[in-house]
Amino acid sequence: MIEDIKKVIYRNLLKENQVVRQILGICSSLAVTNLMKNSLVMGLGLTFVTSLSSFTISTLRNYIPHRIRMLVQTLIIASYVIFVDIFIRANMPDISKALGPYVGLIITNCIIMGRAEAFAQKNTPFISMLDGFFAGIGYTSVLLIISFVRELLGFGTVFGANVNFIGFDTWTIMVMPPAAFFIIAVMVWIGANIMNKRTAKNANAEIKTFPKQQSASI
Amino acid sequence: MKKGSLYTILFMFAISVFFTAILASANAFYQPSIEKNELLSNMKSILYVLDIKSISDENQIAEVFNNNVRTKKLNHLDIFVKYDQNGNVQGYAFPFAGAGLWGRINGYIGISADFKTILGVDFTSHSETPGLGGRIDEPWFKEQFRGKKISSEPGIILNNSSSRDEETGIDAITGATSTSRAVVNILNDFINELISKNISSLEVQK
Repeated sequence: MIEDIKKVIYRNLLKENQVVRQILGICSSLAVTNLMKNSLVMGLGLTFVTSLSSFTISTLRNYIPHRIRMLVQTLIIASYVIFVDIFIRANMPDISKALGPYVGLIITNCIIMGRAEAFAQKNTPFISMLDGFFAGIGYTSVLLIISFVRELLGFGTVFGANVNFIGFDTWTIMVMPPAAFFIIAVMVWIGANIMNKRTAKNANAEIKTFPKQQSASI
Repeated sequence: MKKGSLYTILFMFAISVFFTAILASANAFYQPSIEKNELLSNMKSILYVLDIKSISDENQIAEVFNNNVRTKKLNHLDIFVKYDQNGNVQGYAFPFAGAGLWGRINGYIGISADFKTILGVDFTSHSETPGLGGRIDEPWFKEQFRGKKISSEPGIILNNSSSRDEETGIDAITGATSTSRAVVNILNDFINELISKNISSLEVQK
């Protein structure tokens, strides 16, 4: 069990990170990453929805008829998102105003559907919830890295606090969505490099020790 | 696990009813506080554009609002009239709306009792880029409108490097010229409409 949890954490944060390795959720990674605060709230909203929807879908997985499973998944995901939206509007009107339409857009984030379809559908509720949670955390951390670069260069601030001590000219392009493309591309490049090296190394090691198993796993 | 069509339909039906019921009750439960929040933020906006000292305490907003402002109807439009202690009209707040760069911009504009100057401008909703056009929400931008002269020509204009007009000019937001221009256009259109319809203080008081 502990091993499974460790695997889920490692896989979601690094090995199969939703944004960098699976190129999912790119739309929101472009839209909300010009300020760290927006990224954090968006990331937490998504983490909440992914964990709970994965948990619910996994609980119901033996009862959901296979043919309509996507309808059911969308329904469950949408319900949680609408609930988050209502809750924020009732209790945190300022944040709700700052996020505007982004909360509703969590529904269309493919990460949630991806986790539901790829993991929650086949695993027990608890581990599915953890899987959803860490997928969300992996997404949030990538968003925070992107928005750190964009906010620092675009506004000279970090989480709204001014750090532009030397007074450099801020880059307007960093505030615009295209800037996130450059940063995501660099992150994907680094991620792909590290992972390719690692798999190559593992493959070599396996070929030396267990040649048969290696060929079987391909 | 093979399941028949009837099961599929019943399952979808049941699960839809279940989740819709949860959402409906959550909505009903939170509706009063959502409405209260919206009402309060509108009141706050109206107080701001009428240049009535801003109050930080949420509980006092409604009280200050009711003491200073009356709501009136003018051509199906809700307008808000500010009175001083002796019951003299000091200004009006009108809701306005128009096209921003990315979407609709809604807000209130406060106008002095003699329809000569702007008391203040505030935006209640917009979908401009956060950090660029979204900075129309920042106080330095909104404060610029206070005391600007109302006229059909040239209306409110954007300052540029060579000319600054204290009476009608405002500074645009760096990197968000289109949004700044859109805001100025919306306000000028609104002011022109007031002028063309000959809406004066007398008509409002009726």
